[in-house]
Amino acid sequence: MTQLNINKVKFLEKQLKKLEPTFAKGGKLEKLHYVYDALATFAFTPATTTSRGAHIRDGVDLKRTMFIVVLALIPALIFGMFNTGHWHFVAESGNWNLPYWDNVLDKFIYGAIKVLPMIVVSYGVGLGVEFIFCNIKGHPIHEGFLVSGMLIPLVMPVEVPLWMVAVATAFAVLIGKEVFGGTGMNIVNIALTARAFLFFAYPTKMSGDTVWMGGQEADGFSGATFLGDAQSLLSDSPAVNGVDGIMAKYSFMDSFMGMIPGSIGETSALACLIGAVLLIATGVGSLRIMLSFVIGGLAFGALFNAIGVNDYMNVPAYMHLVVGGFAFGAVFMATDPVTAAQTAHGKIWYGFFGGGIAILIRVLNPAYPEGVMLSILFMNIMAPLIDHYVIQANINRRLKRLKVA
Amino acid sequence: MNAEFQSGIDVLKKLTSGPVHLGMNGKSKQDEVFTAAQGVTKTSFSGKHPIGNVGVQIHHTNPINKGEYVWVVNAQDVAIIGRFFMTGKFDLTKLVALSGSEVKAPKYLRIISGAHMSTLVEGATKQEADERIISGNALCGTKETPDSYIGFYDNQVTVLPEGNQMKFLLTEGWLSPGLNKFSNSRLYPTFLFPNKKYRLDTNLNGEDRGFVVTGELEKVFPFDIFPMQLIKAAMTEDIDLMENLGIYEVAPEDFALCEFVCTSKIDIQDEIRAGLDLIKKECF
Repeated sequence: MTQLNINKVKFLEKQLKKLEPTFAKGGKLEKLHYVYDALATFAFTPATTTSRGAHIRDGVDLKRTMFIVVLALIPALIFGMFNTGHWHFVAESGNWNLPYWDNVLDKFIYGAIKVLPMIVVSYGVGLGVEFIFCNIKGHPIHEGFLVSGMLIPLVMPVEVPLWMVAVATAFAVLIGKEVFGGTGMNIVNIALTARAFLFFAYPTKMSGDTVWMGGQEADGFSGATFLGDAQSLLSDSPAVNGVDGIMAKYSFMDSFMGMIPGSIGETSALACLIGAVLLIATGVGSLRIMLSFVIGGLAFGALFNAIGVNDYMNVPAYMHLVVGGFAFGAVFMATDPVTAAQTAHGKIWYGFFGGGIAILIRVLNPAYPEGVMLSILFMNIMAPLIDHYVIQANINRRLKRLKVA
Repeated sequence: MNAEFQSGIDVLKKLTSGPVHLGMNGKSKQDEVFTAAQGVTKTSFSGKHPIGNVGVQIHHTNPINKGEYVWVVNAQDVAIIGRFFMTGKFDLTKLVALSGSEVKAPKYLRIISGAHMSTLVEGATKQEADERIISGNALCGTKETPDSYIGFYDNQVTVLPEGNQMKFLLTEGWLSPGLNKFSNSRLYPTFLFPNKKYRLDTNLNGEDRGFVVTGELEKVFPFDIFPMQLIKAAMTEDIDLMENLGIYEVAPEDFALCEFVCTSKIDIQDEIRAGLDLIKKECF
């Protein structure tokens, strides 16, 4: 660092210290203490020292952990913007087979114009609600929303109006998190709470065949997703011609790369995989959960393949992993440590059934094309129960020893 | 020394109806004082810290159940007891280690138990920054001033730099490359250099939060006990749950590494101490 920059940092530090009494108890702006605290601790790790116990502490803190997750989401975000742009041009031209890698910059710019405002709204509203709530309740503002704020836009269809993003975010932060006591205390995943809220409150904006592609669609063009088309296999007038038809429309490779319509950040299994590598390498995301989630999905997929009484059941199991929100859910949603199972064994069962039930809902429930969101929310609720049995086994070992002794 | 240690053990055997165990370091060459000791059950332990903690050693040889007692004495005190019974003189001379990054020359000192801290640290430290003087080690010792005394149970004095400086996010904080950050996690690149040496200060390196990260405590906690669940039971003062989860098998020091690695910067040893104190008050 140059001398000049060091001086700037010192200057900033001095200014912060100067402002501190204004926001401290008895100061002019004491009501805004926690806002000041949030901004000051964002810029500087506080000078707080240990007093008892371990006098030295690990260099890691929650901000770093959350930052790594945001970093892991960047590939999905960048690709999502580009993909959004592509499907906008597809819808406009009415040509499903529009070359994917043409006009890269135009597509990216269109996607950015659509997606960035959603991110701004999500962060703005979410942090705004937290700032107000934390000031009223008198507790510091936690960094959990750094991740939720990025996840929320990525699991939305691109055509969701901004005000809906705002309402859903406010709902998720208040009802999903703050009423339970803030970061670390919530029962269900915040971002999925936001999505579920919109899914049930405004179903026409969250599924169907008009929400996935930005802009005006050409006459007679159907902007459905794989899951929508697959669902139609169960109806009297399927949009595609059986399993072969749907596999021809969405190849495995295209789906893996993410070159298919869907929610903004979820289409590319590859981008999720890149994120997964970062999460696993740094130890932030649980490999156990991700792996058992995928195995669960494959197992239930194979089970339906074996039963195979209708066309949807015959969709190959591996296809389920790369379409819809499966990969995104496995990597970024199911692994949320607060709402997942917390014991090592519990994580395996939690992941397995999370992935399995997602496929179960997709294939068997015609009302919900996307099962991943509901399945993870369901397993969030079940996680404490799973942990309870794992812990009870440990307790029983101890009680048995007591009886023997 | 051999005779004093042996005589100390003989005294301990008279004080208890149960067996006397001697836990030894299985990694380095064992001193003859220990290998020649008679009338004790010897067990060698090897592994990473906290393998030297009596809690870990007891858990892996003969775990404590509710209602059972284990008394522990460290080796120097055994010799002091033996010396008293051999000579009739209560001679509290013992060796303590002067350690820590701020000490000019780390060394052993021969002192009288309870010596004044200034006689140990004055002139021996570097004085480059504000200094933290700890009676005991860096993970579970007690914060002291130069005008205090070394603790009765402590065989070590540690001097560390105080971390009472703010850390800017881009240079030393959470967004920095972190080339000087020591962490048990892999969130800073320093995990690639396991032999790198650090000058750790007493900064909390973060802020107090609720539990978020799972699985990190288990990695540094060699017990068949769920650490996070037990800590939560202690926080919520649930005595039944604490007993069921194995509170009788642990001491606060066994959680020192958990406290060190905790991302949420929770004072875990304090919580466990409070839990044990509550049980002592309510049940005994």
